Amino acid sequence: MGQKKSVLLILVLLASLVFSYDTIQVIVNEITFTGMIDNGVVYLPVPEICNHFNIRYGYFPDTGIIAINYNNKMISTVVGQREVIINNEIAQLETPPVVIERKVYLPVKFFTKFIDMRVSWQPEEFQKKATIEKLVYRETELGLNLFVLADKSFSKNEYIISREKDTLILTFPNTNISDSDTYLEYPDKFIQGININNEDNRGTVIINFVQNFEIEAGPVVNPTGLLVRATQKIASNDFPENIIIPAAPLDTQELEKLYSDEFSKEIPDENTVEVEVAVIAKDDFKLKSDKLELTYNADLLTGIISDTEELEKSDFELNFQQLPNIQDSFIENIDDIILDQKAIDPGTAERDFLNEKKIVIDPGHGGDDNGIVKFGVFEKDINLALSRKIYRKLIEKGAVVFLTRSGNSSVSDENRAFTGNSNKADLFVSVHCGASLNPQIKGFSIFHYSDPVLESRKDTIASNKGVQDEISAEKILMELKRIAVIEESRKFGKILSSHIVDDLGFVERMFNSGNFQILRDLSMPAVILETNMITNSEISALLREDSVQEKIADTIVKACERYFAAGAEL
Amino acid sequence: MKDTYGMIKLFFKFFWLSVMLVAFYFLFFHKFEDYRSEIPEKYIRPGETAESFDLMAFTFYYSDGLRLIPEDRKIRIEDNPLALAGRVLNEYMKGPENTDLFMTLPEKTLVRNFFLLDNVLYIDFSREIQSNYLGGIIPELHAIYGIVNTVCQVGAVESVKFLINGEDTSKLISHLFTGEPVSPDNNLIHRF
Repeated sequence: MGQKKSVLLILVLLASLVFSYDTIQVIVNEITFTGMIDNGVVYLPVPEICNHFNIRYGYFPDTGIIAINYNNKMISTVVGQREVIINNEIAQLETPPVVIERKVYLPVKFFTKFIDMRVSWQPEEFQKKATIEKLVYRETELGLNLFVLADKSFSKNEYIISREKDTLILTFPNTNISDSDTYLEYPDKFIQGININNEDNRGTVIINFVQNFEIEAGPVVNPTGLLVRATQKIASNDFPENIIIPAAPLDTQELEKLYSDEFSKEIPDENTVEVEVAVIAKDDFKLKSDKLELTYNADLLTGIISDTEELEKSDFELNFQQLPNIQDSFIENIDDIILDQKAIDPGTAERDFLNEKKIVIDPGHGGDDNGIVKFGVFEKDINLALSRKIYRKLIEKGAVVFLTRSGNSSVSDENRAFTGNSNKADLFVSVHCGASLNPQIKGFSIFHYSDPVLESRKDTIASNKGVQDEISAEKILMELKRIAVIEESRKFGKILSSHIVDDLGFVERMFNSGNFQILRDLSMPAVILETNMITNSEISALLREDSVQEKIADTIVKACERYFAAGAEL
Repeated sequence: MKDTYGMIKLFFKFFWLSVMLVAFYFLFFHKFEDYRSEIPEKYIRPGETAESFDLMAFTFYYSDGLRLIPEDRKIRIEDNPLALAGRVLNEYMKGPENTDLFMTLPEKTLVRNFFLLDNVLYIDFSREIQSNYLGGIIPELHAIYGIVNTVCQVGAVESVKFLINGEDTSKLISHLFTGEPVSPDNNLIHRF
């Protein structure tokens, strides 16, 4: 008997496991309902939806008949059966309706197929559990930057901040904080103590600051996580003495001399010298020049050993561009963490068609201008993340690359064009995401500038080339160059399009010319690329993935290379 | 049983015969008279009869999410091109009749004013055209060229200049330059 009982118990337990349903938040016509998942099929509650949208319905528990009257359509079906009768015509459902806890549920397909409703649910990524890997502290001029590094970046809804005077409490729902000793390596100047809690499926970080800092927080894309910026109140003039305010920017020649003098005195014979790279902070040179070259004497320095990696070249180049002033950008380049300058091998660089080519990458929108906002995704964020990847890949190939914005800042179209024209760039690529009024459409599109009137006059302009008058001759040259730019843009667009079709398998939706504000003023080949339609829920989830962005960036870099290999005629 | 069956057969024979006879009479001998109103014509008020006007066919362009799709509508003929443009605009803002198509302009967008000057139609939109715009370049192209391609079929209109709340803007929505009058672009129209 005892054995039978235990078997029964196990059976009951198994049954309860099998019949327990998962819930999911489903958005029907932009209103959220709680649906059930059974065998991978999503079911929606009929009474709630019908009551909300004023649809007349009836359910008869004795016979299991469900009747719905929608837009003069009489739809009836029976629980557990696949047949649906719509105005005396029989249709088939893939999965029959079910009754869970005395409530009737119909599969999602029923609502999309027979009742024209738009149904979507948030992709899994939103519900994915996050893990916080470590905390990284970086001291700045005015205070402290604290990076909460995790396997995803926390958007505004995914963390809660509360504070009491000097203590700051960061709460991350649905997040686990991994065990690590790095939490305790905080700088004593700013922080008194840190507590970490992992309770009820939520992670809490409690930070005790030394004094009352001003706190700003925002998501970070690369590396992913959250940035907390604690800054001194500027109004109160009592700077503590122990904060080092850096001196005036150093001259590069001076620095070189300084280093060579020092090393020649101390260790003239040895081949390797240890240099703390952290001494050379980027901020020291930012004001100095657009492009900074640090050249070390090859006889003295054959290797530079930083605390993270070994660079084998004696010469290395740091390319900094003059960045636009960032006012309130939370997402920004974290130089110290991602600064992985790689030495360029001259052997491969010579063969590279991208070497020394100036390319401007323009992440569309930014700041107040969010671009397309759909499924909780902002177009500006995707554009920026993708542009950064393209930037890094192009730099690796030896190109000189400029980003029109490096953080979440709003840049006017004139300033974007100015970045291209002032640097005399060879190519300009504006990265955007697409949208369509029809949410089912996927695919990329490419746009370039065109001037139909000018192009139609091309032959007459060319025939007047030998005009004596200087002013008109100059004008003719200008117009000819303008036409050449348009033709080159079209050529690059076609190369880019064919690469995207071949490598990524996206469908080309539009290749068109238009009078675009950014492209109007540019004097180099330029295109606007809409990578894919983020109004489609699948694509929206896809474009947020790092691996997909890497692939797209690879394709764009390849297209650039191919364009220059084919011989740019400007 | 057999008797009753025979009776029914007989009944139907006579029934069909009578039906055929009646039909024969109505086909060849009966004359239908027109119905005449008993109210004399002078008592009918002139306002009750609809004023007759001529209609002309006009092609409207709406978006299917990818291309501009032509939709044929009837518009009342006007001699004054501005009045005709007004009728076209009024009809365009009602949205597409085909339920598969989408209205190109953002929700709640209003035409505040319009006027014709040197073959350029100035259209003044309300602020909603920017604030309710959902994003993307293709919807923007459709919003601008849907209305331009439609309105430019009016003979006197060659191009369209857009204003927002009565102000001249270089960008109507987000990407495209509209500081100058916009001429129609036939590349965006779907070719069947």
